[in-house]
Order: sequence, then C-alpha cells, then structure tokens
Amino acid sequence: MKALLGRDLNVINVGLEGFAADIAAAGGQVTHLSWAPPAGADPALGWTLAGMIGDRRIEEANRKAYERYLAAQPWLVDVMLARDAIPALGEGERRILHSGPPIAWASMCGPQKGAIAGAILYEGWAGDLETAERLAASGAVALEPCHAHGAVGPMAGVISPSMPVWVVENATAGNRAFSNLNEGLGKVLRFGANSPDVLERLRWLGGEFFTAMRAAVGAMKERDLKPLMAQALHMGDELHNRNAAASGLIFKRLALALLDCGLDPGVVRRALAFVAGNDHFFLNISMAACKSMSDAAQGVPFSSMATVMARNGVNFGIRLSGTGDLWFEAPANPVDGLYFPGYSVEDAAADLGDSAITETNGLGGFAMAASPAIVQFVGGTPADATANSRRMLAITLGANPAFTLPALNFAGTPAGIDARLVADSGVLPIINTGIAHKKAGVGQIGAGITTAPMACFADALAALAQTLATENRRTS
Amino acid sequence: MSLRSRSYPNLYKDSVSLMTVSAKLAATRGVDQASVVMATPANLENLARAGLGEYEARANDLLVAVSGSDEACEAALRLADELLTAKAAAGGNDEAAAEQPLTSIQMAVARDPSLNLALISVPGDYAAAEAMKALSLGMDVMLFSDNVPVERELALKLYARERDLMVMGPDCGTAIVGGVPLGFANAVRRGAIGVVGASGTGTQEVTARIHRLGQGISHALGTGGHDLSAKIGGISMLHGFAALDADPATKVIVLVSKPPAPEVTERVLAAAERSAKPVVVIFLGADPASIKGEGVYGARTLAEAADMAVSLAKGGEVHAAPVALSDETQRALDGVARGMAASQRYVRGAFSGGTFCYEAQLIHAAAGVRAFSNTPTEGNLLLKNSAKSRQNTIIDMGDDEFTRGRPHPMIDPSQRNARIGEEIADPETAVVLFDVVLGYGASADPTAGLIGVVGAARAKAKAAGRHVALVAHVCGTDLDPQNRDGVVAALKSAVVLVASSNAEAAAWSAAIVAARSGAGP
Amino acid sequence: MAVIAAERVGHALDVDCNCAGAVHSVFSRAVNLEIEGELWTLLASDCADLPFGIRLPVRSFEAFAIREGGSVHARAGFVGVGPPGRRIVADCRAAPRWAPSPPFAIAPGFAARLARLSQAATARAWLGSRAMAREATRSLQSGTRLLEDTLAGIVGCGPGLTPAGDDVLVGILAVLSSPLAGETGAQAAQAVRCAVERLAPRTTAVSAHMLRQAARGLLGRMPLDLVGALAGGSADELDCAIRSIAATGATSGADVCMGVLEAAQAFMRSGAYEAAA
Repeated sequence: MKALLGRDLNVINVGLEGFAADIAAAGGQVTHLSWAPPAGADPALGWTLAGMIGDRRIEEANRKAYERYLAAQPWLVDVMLARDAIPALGEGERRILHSGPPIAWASMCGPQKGAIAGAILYEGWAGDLETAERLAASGAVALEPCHAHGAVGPMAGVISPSMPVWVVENATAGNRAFSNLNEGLGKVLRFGANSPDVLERLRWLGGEFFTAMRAAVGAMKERDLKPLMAQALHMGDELHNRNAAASGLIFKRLALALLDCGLDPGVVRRALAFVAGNDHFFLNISMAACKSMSDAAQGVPFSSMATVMARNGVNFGIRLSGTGDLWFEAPANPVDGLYFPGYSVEDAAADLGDSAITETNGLGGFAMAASPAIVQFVGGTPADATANSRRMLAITLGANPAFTLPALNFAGTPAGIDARLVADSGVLPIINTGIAHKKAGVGQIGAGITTAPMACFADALAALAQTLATENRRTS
Repeated sequence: MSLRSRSYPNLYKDSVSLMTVSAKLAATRGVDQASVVMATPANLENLARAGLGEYEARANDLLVAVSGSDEACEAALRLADELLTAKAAAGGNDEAAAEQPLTSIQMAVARDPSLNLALISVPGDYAAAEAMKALSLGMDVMLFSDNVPVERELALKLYARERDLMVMGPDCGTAIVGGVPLGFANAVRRGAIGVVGASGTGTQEVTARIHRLGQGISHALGTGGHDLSAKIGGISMLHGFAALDADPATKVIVLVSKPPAPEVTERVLAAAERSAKPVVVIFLGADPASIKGEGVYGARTLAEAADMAVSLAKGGEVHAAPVALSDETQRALDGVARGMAASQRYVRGAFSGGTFCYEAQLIHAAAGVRAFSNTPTEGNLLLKNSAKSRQNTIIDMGDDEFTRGRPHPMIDPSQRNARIGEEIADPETAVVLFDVVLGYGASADPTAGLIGVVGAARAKAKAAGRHVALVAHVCGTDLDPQNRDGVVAALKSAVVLVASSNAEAAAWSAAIVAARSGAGP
Repeated sequence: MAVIAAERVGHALDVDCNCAGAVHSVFSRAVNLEIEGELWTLLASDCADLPFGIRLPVRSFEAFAIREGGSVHARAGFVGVGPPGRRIVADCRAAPRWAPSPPFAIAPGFAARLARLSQAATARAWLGSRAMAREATRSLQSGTRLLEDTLAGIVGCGPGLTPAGDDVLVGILAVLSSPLAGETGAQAAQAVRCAVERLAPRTTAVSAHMLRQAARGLLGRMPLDLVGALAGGSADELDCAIRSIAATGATSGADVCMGVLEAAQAFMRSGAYEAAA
C-alpha cells in the first residue's frame, strides 16, 4: 500500500460493472472482469481454491512436474505383445484393459462391452459371444483401466494379452507407455464391433503385421517421436482427430526400415498397404508418446497439474500429478459436433476413449490452431481454431516449445493443465473427439468438440487441498 | 394469469444488472411479477415463496420468471432475452475473437501485470475468495461486498499485513486513491488531506466538505465497518494510517470511525501521536476530550473534522465551532415550529447513508430527543417494525432489511422517497429529516422523484391544515456528476431547508422538535 | 499484445515478486530491464542463460515495440514490458529454472587444457587484457590490501559496452566463486566484491550491474561452462565452451577467457574444495 499510494492506480474491477465506468469517467485505468462464481459456484471450495492459488508448495511442485513433462523424450522403441510388455497381462492373467476411469461391466456403454466381448473371443477364453459376456460379467476376467498400467487406447481402448502394443519409452526418465494398434475405420473393435471379420483382422494384426512392425521398429533409424510430431503440427495435424501428416511421416520411416529386414516381399507389401490406407495410423503412437510424457510428470506431491484425462463412455475422469492414483469423475459433457448423414445425437454414445491424453499434453483441441482442416470438420472457422488454442493458455502452466503453432507465430502449444486455473477461470479444457454409435459395432458416426467437466477439477482440487491440510498438520 | 420462465445456463450477471432487468420486465404492461436472479438456493426459495414457481437449476444459471397475462409474459421473456444477450452479440469482429474474455483475476494479470488494485463487489459468499486471490497476486484490495464472515476478514487482513498490502473492507463503500474514485465516491480536487475511514458515508461527508471549503484530498482510504473491532484490531486503519503518514502528498490526516474497541482506540491514537503530521480524529459519539495527544485533534461531528483538517492544512489554528445555533437560526426555526398543528410533535428521519443516520441520532440525543431506529445508537430504542415509524423515529434505509433484493437507496431513491411521502402524511410528524448523497455510483438524478412525492404529500397535508418541515443535507460537490448546486436549488424550490452538513441538518431538526414538544397537545 | 511462455528463468530471479521498473537497454537478442536496483535480461532463444535472465522462444526482439525507458511490471510470475496494447508479457510461472552445477574436481590434463585456453584467448582478446588479468590476479594472491588501487585501473578500462577490464574481472570471479578455488578463492571474491561496490560507478551501467552480480557469485552460463570444461571437460567440450564465449562481443568473450585463464592458474587446484569443506 505504501508503494501503491505513490504509483499510478490500475484497477481490476470484479463485480458491479458501473464502478468500472465511474473509474474510467474519472480518468483512471480500469479493466472489468467477466466474472462468474468460480469452482462450479461452490463458495466453500472457492475459498479453498483461493488459498491454493498463492500456495508456494503447489507452485514449486507444478514447476517440477512441468519441467519433467517438458524434458520427456518419447522414443518408439518396440512393438511387443501386451502379455510381454505389461506385467498385469502376463502369462496366466485373465485381464483386459479398457479406456477411461474404472467401471464395472454392468455400467459400461455398448461399444466398450462389445469390444471386451470381442477381445475375450480373440483370446479364446470363450467360444461364443454369450459366454464371453457372461465371463466378463462374472468377474472371471478382470477389467481395469489402461491408465492403471501405463497404457492408453482410443475409443473402447481394449487391450488383451495377445494384442500387439506400441512401446514408447521416455529416453530422459526411462518410463514406458503402451498403446494398441490402430485397426482403421469402419467395423472395428474399438467401436465395439466383434464379428468374425473384425476378429480376423485382429489376428492378422497380431500375427503377420506384428512381425513386420516389430522388425521395422527394430531397424528404424530415427526413433525420436517428438520431432516427428512437431513436424506434423506444421503440416496440418493436431495429432488427435487429424493424423494424416504424422501417419505419412511414420510410413516413410517404417518403409525404409522394412526394406532392410529381409521379410517376404508379400508381407512387407501388405503391411505397408495397411499403414498407407489409414490416416489415423499414427493416433495410437501419438497417444503412447503423450502418455510417456505426462507420466513423467506424475507423482509430484502437491502438484495440481493434470496428467490424465480419459472417458469410459459414461464418465469423464482426470488424475492430477499430486493426487496419485485417484480418479476424479463426472458425467461427460455433451459433444458439440457434426454427424455423418443418417445419424443424430440420439444415436451417440457418451464421450469415449483415452485419446484425450493428447489434449492433456497440449495437442488435439489445444493445438487446434495447427489444423484448420479439423475446425471445418467440426463446424468452425480458422479464427475459432486459433482462438481455442489461445484460450487454453489461460489454464496451462506454460507452452511447450517443442510443439509450435505457425498460426500463433510459432508459439508453443498450451501445455500442463493446472486444475486451479480451470476452476478459477471457468475455462474448460477443450477436446477434439470422434463420436461413437451407442450400439456396439456400428462405428464412428460423427466428430466434434467437447470439454472436460468442471466437476472433475473441483473434486480433484478438494482432494489436493486435503493433502495440503494433512501436510500442514504434520509440520505444525 | 400465467407463469412463464426461462433459464440461461452459465450466464452470470451482477446484481445491479439483474435488478435493472427485473425492473424493466415488471414495468411491462400486463406483467404482475417479474424476477431475474442467479439460481442460488436462497433465490430459488424466494421465487417459490413469491409464487413464481419451483425450479431445479444450478447457482451459475440465470433464471427469469414472470407472471401475468399470457401475452405479457411472452413479451417480457422476449425483452429479457434481448437485454441479457445484447452484449454477447455486440462483439463479433475478429479482434474481439482474438482477445479472450477475462474471467479470472489471474487471466487479467497475465494480460496486464501492472494491475495493482482489485475492486471487488461480487456477492459476499464469493467475495473473500476473490480478495484472497488478488492478494496472492500482490494486489491491494478494496472489498465493497458485505456479508463476509469476520474469520475470513481476519484471514485476509493478516495475509495482507504480512505482505505489506491493504485490504479496504469488507463493506467498504468508498475510497479515493490518487484521485481515482472507487465505489461510491465524490468528485473532489486533489490536495493535502488524507482520510482513513471505517464508514463510507462518513468519509464522503468529510471529503466532500473539504472540497467545498477549498482544500483537497490526497487519498481517502476505507477500512470497512468491522476493522476497529477487538477481533480485527484495526489492521486496515493502522495500515492505511501508516501509508498516509509515509505519503509525501499528505500533510494532514483525518481518521473517521465509530468509537473503536478500547484497546484498538489506544493503538490508533498511539500511532496518531507518533506521526509528525497533524491528525484529526472523529470517533462518532466518543467524547472529544478522550482523544488526546500531541498533534492529535478530536472532533465531535464529521463536519467539524473536515473544518479542523482544512484549517490545519492552511497552517492555521484549530478552534472548536460553537455548539449552539445562532440566535437568527433559532428564531427562524421557532417560526417554522410555531405554524404547525397541535398533533405535529415528532421528527422522522429517513436516511440513505448509515453514518448520517447514526450521527443524526447522536445529535438529537444530545438535544434530549430520544428516537426509535432500526439501527439505534446507545440509549435509543429499537424500532421493531421498521416499515412503520412511531414517535421520534430515525431510520437507515440502506440497512440490510431494506436492500435485500432491492437497490440501495443511494442508487435508486424511489423507496426512500415513498417513505418521506408517508411521513409527511402522518399527522404526528413535525419535521422530516433526510440526506441526499451524490457522487459516482449514486443515482444520476436523485431529486427527480422526490420533488413530486413531496409536492403531492404536502398538498394533502395542507388540505388537512398541516405544514410539515423538511430538512435535508446534500453530501456532494460541484464536480460530482449530479452537481450539488443544482440539487440544492431543486430542493430549495420545493421548500426544503437545506443545511450545509449532516450535523447542522440534525441540529435544525432537533431544534424544531424541541420547540414542538414545548407546545402541548 | 502477446503472452509468451518463458523457456527458462535464471536462478537468482524472484519471478513471484511484485515490483516495477523500466527498460534499460534494447538489443536485437537481449533486452535489459532495470527493476528495483537489479538488472534482469530478456534473452532470445539462442542466448546463454544468465542468473537474472528470462529466456523466451523468440529469435530476436526487433519485431516487438520495446523502447528504452518503457515501463516494466513484474507480478506473480508475469513480467510485462511495454505500453498497453503492444505489451509483451513473459509468463515465467512454471518455466524451468536454470541453475549452474559447479565442478568439484580437476581431471588430469589440466595443464594441457590451460594451454589450449591460453592459445584461444590470446588470439582474440583485447591487447591490454592479459596484463590486466595478471595484475589483478597477482594483487589478489599477495593479500588484498592494495586491491582497490589495482582494480581502479581495471574497472571500466578498455573498449566495449562491457569494457575489457570488466570482462577480465568477470572471468576472474567465475574462477574465484568455483568450489575449486577453495577458501582462498572465496576470500578473494569477497575482497573483489567490496572493491567493486565502490568502483562500479566508473564503468557503464550494464557492465556495473554485471560486475556486481559476478562479485556476488552470480555468473552466466558461458563463463561457468568454461570453468567447468577447464576443470574436467573433454577437448571438444573445452573448445565448444571457448567458441561460444569467444563469439560474444568483439573481444568481450575472449577477455573473459583471459580472466578465467589467469585466475585458474593461480587459484584452481584439486582438493581445494575438500580442504575448504
């Protein structure tokens, strides 16, 4: 205050708008805030949040988590069978991983049930669908989130022991992340399809294609994914809903590597044709890369940085770096999207999949400015796209200099979502998403934009406040 | 008769905007009731009680409910839609799209780190949190909002003190920092006198009078009404005082408050005595003799505090003003009283400024006139039904019970005008005493409705053989948007006796009542 | 108007502070800000870290409307420079912090590395630098009684925005503040610090700030990397450290090298850190 009396007053007006007009009329400097009650209009949590905004322990923890995230170097190191890569899916385990926060079979949405039943058939644990569903319902096959095991999967996100997974390693810290292989569009397991042709394709993916990819990745010269992803951003991808450029770039690396593998030319040809035919081929690699980066930031006590955002077709769930394995869930927000001809909002499943790990890492909706093509797909203008990316800066710890956006004068993508800033500003993380049909196996029926629900962040902050309070008691 | 409603999810508007829209809807022909509110649990309860329906909504949703004829409801909802969404439609160009709306203080700081004071007037439930965030961003705070729990006030002030920041408020109505008016403030010239006030209208009276006497204000800081309680310990008063003491532009300091808790009084006076600058202290209702110390001057009234500060600023001596009215004034007031009907014996005070109500009660009490009030001073009686005056009554219409869900009388004087009309109509009323507060934030034309109400009520009283005296005081300056000279002229033309200060107005009123009480039934 | 997330922030800078200042000087790849008696520097992406540096992901500052004397405000991790509307705000809240990691031992081959440095520095430094570096070092070794007189002839002496004499002193201080200079080095640094406080007005404002910071042990990445490479780096690392520092200014970087060279010969020895500890 002593300083204040001597300097030019510059007022932020929070509340009655007339006061701002009076200050301006009297020649003072003033900015009026478009205020609304923060933290979901819960006054008690709002007060807790206010205390957390100036908390040095959180600032310090976020700095550490964010630095680990920035320092991460995702390398594509291998393709393995899930049973060899993920201990929980090892020999003798009857477990299947799915997308999103934990959920019981009975509560699952159609596509996720269909995919799990399909995976049980694929593993040979049941001979027909009915038995497969009974097995899943009985608990004889354990169902757990991918995120609980360092993995991610788009849509239903189903990973069973015999499926191949991409193995991405953070070369800086050594942590590994996994994702399943992208099957292409149409009738595919990730949308809940489980017919014989779907299983047939899975067998080919887990057999011949797996062999080819394993050899290719083994022989690949450039394994560092960050530069590839950065390049793809400059080529019109946002690496969630658009992966056309990145899929082309990875195709180049794989093709060169495959030439030297001594595989049967027919195998090579079929493998490359499959990769070339799928513009979303890179999505799963992008997701595994993202998972390895945000996992690097996981587990810093008191950090309010979000490290997971994922959906299971019923609930949206997030995790924070500083709250361990806890999930904070809320019903998913509706998707503002366009539907393919013949489908409407009536047909849509609730938002689904682990692919929001891309937004958690500053890609997808956060990098929308990179991808005007996507904006059109979801009914917006290029100006909306840059506005979306800019808006996300209000809720992130910073911008990732490794991923730059030409449309924002090569500023980095907003990255490191701070739950405090989400709750305080009411600005919700924006997510580009595909829309699945609520019935298993129909497939994608549209695409659009949605947001992470405020309630997840509010609950997460309440939990983080608990850990701070416990610490206060311990030290006092 | 039908009932219609519409909700707007996640649309937040401040209470003044909402009341403005409500008023416009209610004024639509054929509309019986209209309410535009944020859907907080308390507001939903009120709607149900008013028969405007029961709703399920979240506190962040805006709810419009109207009753009346089918057509009128339809028209009202259309109008509401227009008024509520007008702004959003306005800013559609690319530039505006690039600039994100600022929805948190931190977002504003990211855009402009030179922001250094947060003026907070959001509902009390949320106000302390906004203040805490502003403090943690290193900003000083003026907390206009009221209904902030005292524990939070203390938490804010302790946090601020540790960081050499100031919290003005909660319930701080006015401040002027470096010439910039904050909240309800009068337009005054800059000068050498600094003020720290626990009372908003008290500070306005002192600053406006200093201006009228030709001097000016360096800074006027507020503390909020609870600051000098034992629990808070005068943290903001002491901080504000230290700031003015260190401020080279400030030569004289005025402290304005009701009498603080004894230990706080001691601390404040000790600080005042340590200062090399002369300090005028007005603790309304305290014996000026109890305010002692080298270079410390105790005043009896707000006006006297201003007068003392002005003479000190001019380098002159401080003299106590005479207590008694001049003979000439006394004769004039006796004349007014003599012309009244036998039933007219009482004063009716209807104030918009809480401190004016308080000071008026003190001055009447000193003249032997005890009054009922909704905010009684020591020795006065509580008026149980504040809607109905009895005998001598002096009420504060800016108090909670009058402003719940309705604009403060300083912003919209219609409720207070109506009360003045009612008091004139009461055969027992000898004199109606009131204040008119000008300045930023106050009603743009405070006398517009009043003149009509007074004219009509007086005409009726005259028909019944009564003349009721009206005594007023106008708190403001010639620089205020409403221009004090014009307001005073309008009042005089309506045969209102306009005093130069609240204290003088109260003294006139007390003299009339005294003259009437001698007059027998 | 742009908010730019800082890439890295120097360890000495308290970004959470709430203070104001003014733009001191503007260069293509650096902007100096004078804030409450301290000199902060906005650095372009390819500049080496400074203890009070804020490195931004920009190639140069030419495109921004930053003027000398313009206002600067730091609040809660945001540093705003320039007038409203055309302000740039550096968001430093979560930016990684740069802090030096000093060497604790001297690897074999020290003499060879000194020779290599001597060769590189001699070729590029200002003519008077070596003499100044020797004089200052000798004075520091022979007790610090006449130090101020000696330094009076060095501070502000020579060409450049940071005069050669000052660069030499920065080089000497980079060695003295190293753990390898031991207790003797720390005492010498303390003596320089006292002298510099009094002598600072003799040189340019930017150089005075830099000298004062160096005297407090707050040095930039380049001289510290050089000391580190001298103590234990490979030939490549040493060459790299020399090359990057020698590329600054006309002779500035080489003058720093000269100071490092002379002080290293006089003060750096294995075991000094252990002895001091």
